[in-house]
Amino acid sequence: MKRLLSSLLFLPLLMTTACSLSDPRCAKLPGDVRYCLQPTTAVMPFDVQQKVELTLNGLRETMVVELEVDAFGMRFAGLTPFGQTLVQASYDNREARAGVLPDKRLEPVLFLAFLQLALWPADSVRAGLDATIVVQESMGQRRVLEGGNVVIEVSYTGGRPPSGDMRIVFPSAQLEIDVKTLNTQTTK
Amino acid sequence: MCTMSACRNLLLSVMLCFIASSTAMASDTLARIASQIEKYSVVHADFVQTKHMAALKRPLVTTGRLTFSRSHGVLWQIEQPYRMSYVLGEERIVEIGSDGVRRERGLREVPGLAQVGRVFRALLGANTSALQEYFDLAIKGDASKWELELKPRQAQIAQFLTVMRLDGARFVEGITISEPGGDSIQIRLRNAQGASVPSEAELQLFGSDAAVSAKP
Repeated sequence: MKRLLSSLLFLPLLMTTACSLSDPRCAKLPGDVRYCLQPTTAVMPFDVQQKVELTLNGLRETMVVELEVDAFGMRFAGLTPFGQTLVQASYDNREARAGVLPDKRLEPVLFLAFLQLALWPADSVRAGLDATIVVQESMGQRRVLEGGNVVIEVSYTGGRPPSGDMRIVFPSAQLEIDVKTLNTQTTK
Repeated sequence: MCTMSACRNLLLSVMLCFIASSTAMASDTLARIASQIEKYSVVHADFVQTKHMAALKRPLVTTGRLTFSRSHGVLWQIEQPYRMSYVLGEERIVEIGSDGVRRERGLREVPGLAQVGRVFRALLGANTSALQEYFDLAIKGDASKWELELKPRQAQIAQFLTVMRLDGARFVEGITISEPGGDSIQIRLRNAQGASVPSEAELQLFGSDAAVSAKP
């Protein structure tokens, strides 16, 4: 499972992260776009469980995700439906750390950056990107553009996260991620 | 009165007899457990799987229905919090979505799931020889109420699990897998029932070959 997940999802991403960034809060995304993690105080604390389906070139993989966000940071784990941990990463508002990674060459900040790009408020996402990158926000959709090209497109259904579902597309990596929210708790 | 050396030899002999007798009792208990589990070709049970992660506050809980068939493998039907089924067979792994769409994969494509399938089949089928190949076994209780502790023999397996505990009576009732770093997976099996063949609906899920082969 780990091997497949690596080849399916992460190898295209590895190509984008081959050059590591000096700031441990920053990730290099597909399309050569840099995103620096924003404080977790930008969102209300929550705790969500999601079913995630990753598709690359017709190959699909299923994972169950648990994400906890509070004022102290964010903690994320991706598991197989049988409970084996595929990926685990956390951010304490200073640096990102990995518990488990499907490939040691991957940086944990990348996973957390994807989550923030989809879940954090648009203004906060803009603050994490270079000034040349555009964040378009419309009803049910968010697009991150670089020079007119879509880097990431997020479509929301059934309300904004963490309560609704979403579909995230990375055109340059030919990667699609369908996220179905299973269970949400607002925490203190 | 015996001499010091004779006493030591006597003590050693008694201890060896005791160890040999305990080992014989353990292997006898194991054989009894295996034979009562092997009575049924098919076992159905409801499962509750709980994954506790040291880094996270909330455990991840899934519930559903398990069917173990000696001829067909393991059918793992997740019902909550999402619907998805898996057939863990000897030759293939099949994922069946909530829309009924089947995706079949060879074991080489999904080595992790293939390994899960092998362990599940060995555990649920009480295949003690397969388990002893990979684990050191220690047993408590008797065939009417037992606990089995499995510690990995190979460093490769020890990377992923430190110890596995099974408990049960007529059937396996619980499996706890402790992982390095403090995470654990607990599976409780309830309402277990034995049968001679899977139901028609289960045969459909196991696959068309299964449905054909199970017909008289």
